Amino acid sequence: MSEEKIKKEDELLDDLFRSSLGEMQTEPSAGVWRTISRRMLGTELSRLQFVNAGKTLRIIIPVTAIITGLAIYLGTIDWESTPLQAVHEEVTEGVNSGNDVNSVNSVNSVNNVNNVNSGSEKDVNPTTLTTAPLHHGTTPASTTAPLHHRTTPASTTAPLHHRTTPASTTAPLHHGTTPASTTAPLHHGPAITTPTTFIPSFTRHSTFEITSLDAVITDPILSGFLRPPVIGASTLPDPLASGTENASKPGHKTVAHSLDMGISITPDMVFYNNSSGSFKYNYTFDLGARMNLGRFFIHSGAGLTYSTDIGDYAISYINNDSIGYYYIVNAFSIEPGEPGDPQFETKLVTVYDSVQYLYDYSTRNRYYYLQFPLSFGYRILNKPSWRLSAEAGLLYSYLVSVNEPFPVFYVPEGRIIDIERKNPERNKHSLGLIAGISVEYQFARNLFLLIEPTFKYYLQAIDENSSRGDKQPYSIGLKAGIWYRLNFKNRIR
Amino acid sequence: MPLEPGIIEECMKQKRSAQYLLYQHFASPMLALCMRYCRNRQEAEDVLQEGFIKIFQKISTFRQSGSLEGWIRRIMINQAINHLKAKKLVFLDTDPYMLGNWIPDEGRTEEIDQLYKPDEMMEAIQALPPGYKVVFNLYVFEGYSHKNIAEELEISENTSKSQLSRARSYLRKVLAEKKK
Repeated sequence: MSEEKIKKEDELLDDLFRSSLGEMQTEPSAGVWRTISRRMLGTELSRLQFVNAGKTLRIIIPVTAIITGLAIYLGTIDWESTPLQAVHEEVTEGVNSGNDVNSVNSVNSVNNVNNVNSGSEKDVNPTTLTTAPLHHGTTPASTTAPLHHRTTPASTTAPLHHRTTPASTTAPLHHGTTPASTTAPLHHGPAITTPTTFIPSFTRHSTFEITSLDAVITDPILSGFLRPPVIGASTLPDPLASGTENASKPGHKTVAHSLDMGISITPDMVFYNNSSGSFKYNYTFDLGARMNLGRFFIHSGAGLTYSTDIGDYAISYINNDSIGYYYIVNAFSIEPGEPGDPQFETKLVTVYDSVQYLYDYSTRNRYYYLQFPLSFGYRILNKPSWRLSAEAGLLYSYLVSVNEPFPVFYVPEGRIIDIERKNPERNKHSLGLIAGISVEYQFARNLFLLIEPTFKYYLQAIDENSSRGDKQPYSIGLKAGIWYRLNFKNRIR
Repeated sequence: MPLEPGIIEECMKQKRSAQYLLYQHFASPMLALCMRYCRNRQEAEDVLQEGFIKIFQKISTFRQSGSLEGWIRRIMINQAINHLKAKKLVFLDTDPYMLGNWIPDEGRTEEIDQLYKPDEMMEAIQALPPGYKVVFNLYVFEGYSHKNIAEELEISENTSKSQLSRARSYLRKVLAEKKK
């Protein structure tokens, strides 16, 4: 066979296949698009959730680690070697040690002054460097507490009365008291010092000097802003230290109270306990308040939670589709040599009919909840610059806003006959349990950063139709916020 | 039926309704294409599915100055070839009939200009060994030269030629058998 003929036969074969199959079309089964749609949705969701989750976690984890590490590092530094702290401790130790009070120079000086100038002042209480409210014979430091007789305030602004001598002056002394740079009203009582950074220096001549600028800052809150925190040497008694009990008066016990207020944001990974095994993100912005009672505290507040979910719909529609094909015989021929083998000329005819399809459609639903936590906690570690606490309690959620877009589905050559919503409606109310372990880092006197891994377990399902115990979601989140501390003291018997 | 304007832009925004329209427009011819590369319809639908997912994911890279059908076709062919490669695409040097099922060569004198049903011809192609099938499809249906095929499949041009020759021979035999 010649090469030319071979080539021609090859071309004939190629043409035969090309003409028969080149323009061929065949309808895929309905399941193909359903699978594509589902896969695309899964891809979008995974891109939305896991990729973003990765990015979020890539930021949150190192930041949390750095802050926590820094807090631990700063909290464990030995700050006692600082001169200020050393002086502070010298003064406070002497005062608190009761019998050793005479060894404190300043107090001795006061007594000496009293002895020199007034002589008969027998009821002066030298152990006045306390944090307790001031009464007889006590001297507040940088305080605005009411003064009674025999007290000498330092750094107050009220006018002076008798028995006072301005600091660093040579004015004659009266009645044996010597206030330091003070204009406070003075009544019958000795001059006294401040327990903290206000360090008076007494002389034999009944004068003393203010050696710290802190003394002029009389407002504890304002001074917290103006002055960086002295880590390890709290300038005010730590209200959170359990047992800030003062022995100034036997039988009285002072339990320090404080109120913390702050704003926080919490990204939560919510697991819905269903077969999908995936999680979704909730974001909560909350305003919180915490009442500290020694080492214990009560925490409450209000938060707004943004939550998303997938809305599933089953759309039934009818489309005009091919359901098969058949061949019609246009002509036939019988070869004379082969009478039993007729040759048919056929034509392909496609058959169309109304075919019902079911299509899974998904939307992105948005929900907003108001959440009100109420929990009780205990401060496990209480370092000067950081604290570690554990808390647990209840969480009430109320669904305030629902945004569930209706499916928009376009069937070019058919019509929709039914749209069935698969998701049940969400519950308006739900109650859950909340627990967390918080780390607080105090970066200013009254400001602290709070990082708190939280766990929430909802006692009810989120959906109305879900049976109890079936789909209670739980979540793991990380709360981060800035809080402000309002210190105040309360004396209880 | 021409594709509605704006569909590609909507698909780029990942709008499901637009994706569905695009799918509806191209699914049938692309399934036929996939069937030529696969052994059966089920396998072809799997390839079609993967191909469309890739199309929807990569549609932002489509340059609209070109032919959309050509671009989609190209993706489907690549998907089909990758599918065959995943199943160890081998370019046989021997005639599969030599390994058994030998059909006596009735010679090139056999007339093949008979009318065959399309599904019979499809079955014949699907029955080809994968290497023959890919080369035959690329050469006959896609208009590739042997050089292009060699580059595409990373084989030599001679291998491509021999695969095509064997594919034709195989198809002739199969069609002749069907005729009987």
